Amino acid sequence: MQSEHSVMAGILARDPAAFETLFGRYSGVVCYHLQRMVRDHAAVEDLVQEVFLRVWQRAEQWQGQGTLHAWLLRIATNLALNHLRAVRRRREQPFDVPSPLLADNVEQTLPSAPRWLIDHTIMPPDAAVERAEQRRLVWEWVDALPVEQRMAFRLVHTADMDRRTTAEVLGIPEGTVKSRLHYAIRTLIQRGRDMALDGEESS
Amino acid sequence: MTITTTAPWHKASFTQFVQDRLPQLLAARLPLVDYQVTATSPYTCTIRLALASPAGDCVVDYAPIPQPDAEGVFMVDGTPRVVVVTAATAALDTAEIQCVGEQLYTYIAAHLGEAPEGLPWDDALARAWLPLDRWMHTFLTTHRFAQPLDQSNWLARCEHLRSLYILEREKVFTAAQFGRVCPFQKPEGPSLRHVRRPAVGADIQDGRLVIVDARPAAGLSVAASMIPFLEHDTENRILMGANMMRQWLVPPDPEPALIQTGHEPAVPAFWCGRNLLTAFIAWDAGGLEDGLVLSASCAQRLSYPTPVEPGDKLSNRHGTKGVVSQILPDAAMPHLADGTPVEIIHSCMGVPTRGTIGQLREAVLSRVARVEGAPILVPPFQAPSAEEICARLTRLGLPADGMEYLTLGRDGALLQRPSTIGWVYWGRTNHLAQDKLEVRRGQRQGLFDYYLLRDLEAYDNLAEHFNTRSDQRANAATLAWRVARGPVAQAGPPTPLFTQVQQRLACAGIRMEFTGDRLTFRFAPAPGPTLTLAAPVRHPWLRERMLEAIGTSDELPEYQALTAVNARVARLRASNAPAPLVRQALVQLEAQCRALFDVLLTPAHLCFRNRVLFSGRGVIVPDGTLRYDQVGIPEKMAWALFAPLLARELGAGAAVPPQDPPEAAVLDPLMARTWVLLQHMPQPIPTGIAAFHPIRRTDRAIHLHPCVCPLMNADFDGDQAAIFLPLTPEAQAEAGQRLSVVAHLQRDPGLMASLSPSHDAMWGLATLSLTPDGYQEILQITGTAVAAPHGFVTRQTLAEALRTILQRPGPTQALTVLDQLLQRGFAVARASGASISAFLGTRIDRSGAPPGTDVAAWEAYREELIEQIGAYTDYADPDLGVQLLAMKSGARGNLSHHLPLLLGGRIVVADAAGTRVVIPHGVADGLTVQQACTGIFSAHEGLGRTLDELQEIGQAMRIAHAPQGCTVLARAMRAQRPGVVFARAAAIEEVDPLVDLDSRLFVGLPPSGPIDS
Repeated sequence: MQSEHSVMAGILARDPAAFETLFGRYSGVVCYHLQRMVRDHAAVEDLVQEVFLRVWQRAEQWQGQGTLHAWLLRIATNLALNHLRAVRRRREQPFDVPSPLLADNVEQTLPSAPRWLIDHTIMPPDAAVERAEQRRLVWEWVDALPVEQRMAFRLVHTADMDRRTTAEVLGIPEGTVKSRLHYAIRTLIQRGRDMALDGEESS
Repeated sequence: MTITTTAPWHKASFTQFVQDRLPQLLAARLPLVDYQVTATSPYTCTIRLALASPAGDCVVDYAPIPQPDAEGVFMVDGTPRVVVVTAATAALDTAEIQCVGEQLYTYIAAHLGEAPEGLPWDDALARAWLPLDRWMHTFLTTHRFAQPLDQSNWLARCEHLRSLYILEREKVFTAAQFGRVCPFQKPEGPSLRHVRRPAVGADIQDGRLVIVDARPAAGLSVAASMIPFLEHDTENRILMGANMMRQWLVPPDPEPALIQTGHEPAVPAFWCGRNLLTAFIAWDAGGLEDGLVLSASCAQRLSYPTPVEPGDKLSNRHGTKGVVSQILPDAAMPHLADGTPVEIIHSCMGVPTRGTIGQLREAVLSRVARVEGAPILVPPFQAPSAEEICARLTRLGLPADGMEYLTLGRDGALLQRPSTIGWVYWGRTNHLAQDKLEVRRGQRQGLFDYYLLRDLEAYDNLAEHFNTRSDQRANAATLAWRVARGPVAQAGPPTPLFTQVQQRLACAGIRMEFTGDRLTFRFAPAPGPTLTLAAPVRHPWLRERMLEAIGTSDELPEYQALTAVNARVARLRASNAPAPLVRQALVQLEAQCRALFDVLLTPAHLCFRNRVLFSGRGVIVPDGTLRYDQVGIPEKMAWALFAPLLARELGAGAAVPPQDPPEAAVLDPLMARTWVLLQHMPQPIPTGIAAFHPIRRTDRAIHLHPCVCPLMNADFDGDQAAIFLPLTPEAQAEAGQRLSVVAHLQRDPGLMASLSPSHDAMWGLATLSLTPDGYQEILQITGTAVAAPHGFVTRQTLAEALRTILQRPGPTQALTVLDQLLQRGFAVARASGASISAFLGTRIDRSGAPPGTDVAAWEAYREELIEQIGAYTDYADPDLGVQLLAMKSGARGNLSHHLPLLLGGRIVVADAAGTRVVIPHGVADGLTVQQACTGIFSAHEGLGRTLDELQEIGQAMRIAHAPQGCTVLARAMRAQRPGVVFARAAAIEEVDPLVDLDSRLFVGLPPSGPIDS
């Protein structure tokens, strides 16, 4: 059996076979470790991938002190903690998609229609579609953000990453992630307000 | 006997959880060094814990943590909540019982991770790892068994705290449940097999439900313990009686019942009913199928929170329930000889078939209580005998059989027979007509409604319901405006349903195009915003095809999950991650795509269903003043439904037509020439929908002609119906030609048999025909021969006569004759005073009853008894005369079924093995505890079977009515995974020629087109 050192040497040399060996040998124990900590099957699956991606990307950080096993579990523990903190943060500060007040298009298109003959309980074409439309609009605005802001926003709000991981993934300081998010959200809120104002002015 | 009404197990279980089990769990998973619980209010506590950390102990306070009060009630976000106790199996002698503490333990144990050693604990980490306050809150607000406390009244609250949920779907009843849970009280609906009420003599100890008081009466629930004369009611009616008491509204001034069981709690708030002078007599349409007639002063007495009105539901402790059909001035009600007006009339025809003799006994004994000025106690299964009650009545100078002659009005004519009358404790339930009335919200129509209209070939109304008047249309909000401006034309294809399927297929990369007379299918990139997959995956609906992009479907959570997985795959690929990681992520991506496609298009999307504009709903009541082609609709509904049409008629322009006499003078004729469709609950019968001319009624109920009951299987215990107003001229014409009662009769003359008079009207006609003059009168009304085989006309012979008229001169005349017969029959019934004795059957000689319980011997005796009673012809006999004529004439009930129920000899199945046993007593005699329990199995298994059968019928109908065609849309409409059908069609660029009926209707085309016409 290959020693830990030779496996890691292989990984440092970008040898896929070495990674296969590492993955085959340790993914079970990492998964078990994460399951005991996190108790969320879907999240554990993602975290296991994340642990081994870290190893692949930062194999040089294992200096050979301590066992490889312990190092892997340390990475897993840190990622699990990040995950649990992110869950808590998301619950405490849910991101509110700026919800633009809808212009009552019906009345715009039918200026002579008296209010009592218009069914205001029915949002054309249908409330669900309308909500979806709002969300779609927001994501369109997200797509229109400058690329740096968009990347940060997507990673945090779509891929559910915390800011520190986002910073690592993007290779930028955490403070920069925060400022990019700040500007992104400010832009989105402004777009929402503009749309609501457009609606009021034209009705 | 004082009974237990508390549920101490909630508090005990929570205390054990928070004091012992939670700290044990925490210590097993975290480096717990300290743990303290401090109560901060009756509903909150603080949990302080300390975790060992390399940098020193980390102390965390969780506050406020909800805790239950002594009753077991939690207060969460200002709402009282209770956690319902669960039992693992229906074998309650051995089943594991979980109260709130055990359930919380399971919940938290499943969420709490096990911390590795040496974590640097701080407040933030501890709260992230163990968000104890959030978990508690989430459990108490979202968990299935953590429910808002039912506070409808004292009993509802008490019984909600004392409920038990059996997790396993076992038999409705097992022997181990006796003594532990109430044998009678169960829900009527789908939770029948699950929800139970612990017996007052049971307790929860060490995770088991144990019997602490084995006396028979202690085997009842709290609610069932409050039913006097329980032994004179059938099992299912006890069930209903107990359940409905929990729905009684709370009066501002409690009035204790004249007859009590002695088990009632010593709290005034318990008493939610009123002792109402009740006459159990034959009456007119107002008493039809559970309808109740109230006096005006009675309606005033029940004015909490608002005066009673037609459509409001009342019930009594014996499971009798019905809606108020009519409120008459006191002067029009029957009166006692001393001038006291009757407050409530309950048709005597409804009593024998339901076996609710207990209410008759209550009525007559309450007269004693009333005179004596004190309540009388009748504990369950210890009711006084008929002889005792008669003796007490006699002693006070009251009629010994509790029956006396009433007058119609204060000084009016004497009714012809003595009637059973007395005070019965009735409650006003929280089912109010005003709450049920919907006049603006479009009513739902679904697949079964579609089948109904399709099978009746009512295609124009079908097109209105699923297209022109669908609330899913883009221009739905302006429909009323368009109607006010002029006639509205039928909307053409596509229907909103079709458009939705089209859009969803587009997301999956399948282009379904409607070209006017056909559908084409092909693969094409989704139009609009798409999600490009980080790597192509197999198309979930077609293995050989790869999927590269998906149309955005942000409204679906599965889509959100997919975008997350997709982002990760993209990142892994971008960072040249090794193969095993990418492989694993790709598997997830493919699985997530499949999950999305599973919800993107389901069989439900291919179903006809939406809300229909220009419709309303309300509680139904019987109304004998209507013509056979009329329906009474509430004033409010009439103005709301017809306002746009009225505005058009008045040329009123933009203004709302005022509800004043001049406008009413235009509205009424407009309504009289318009058809509306009436639909009782979805019924798998062709007459489930019918057209009538609406007329205004001042109350908030929908008034039905008596013939609608058999037509639509309707009764008046709270049933509701929907009203639809067809808008296009075509749909209006079709309503009259295809859906009116006349049209239904033309389609199926056999319906006449069920339209023939029944109940009080039939009894009245049979009584009338007993005399030569009366018989002649009936012949004059019908104008044709009516047989009187036993010296009176029957439901069957009248149906035959009506059939003759139906053939010639025709349905309109047949229905006119039917109306006249009903009027006459009701008039005879109303003047008769015909009633039902509280001591039914006491004059019958039953000395030949077998001594033991040998089933064969009882079967022989039963037949003998039925023959003996069947041969009686004394229909004036106050004991059984009325019921005998009702059963023999076909008005109500049936000798061989209902006589054993009332007078003994009922043979029932007593267990799952199918053992047949006899119940020697009838409900008229009163059952022993053992006898009542013997009947439970078959009665409640019967309810359970009915529920199962309903499901099976629904499934069978779905299969029987599914589209038969082989074209694409037809195949998709009957597929479990319709996406697969469409993907195959796209792969071979198949064309659907739209020749299949259901496909055409789904798209919005007329039933037949140029291709097959």
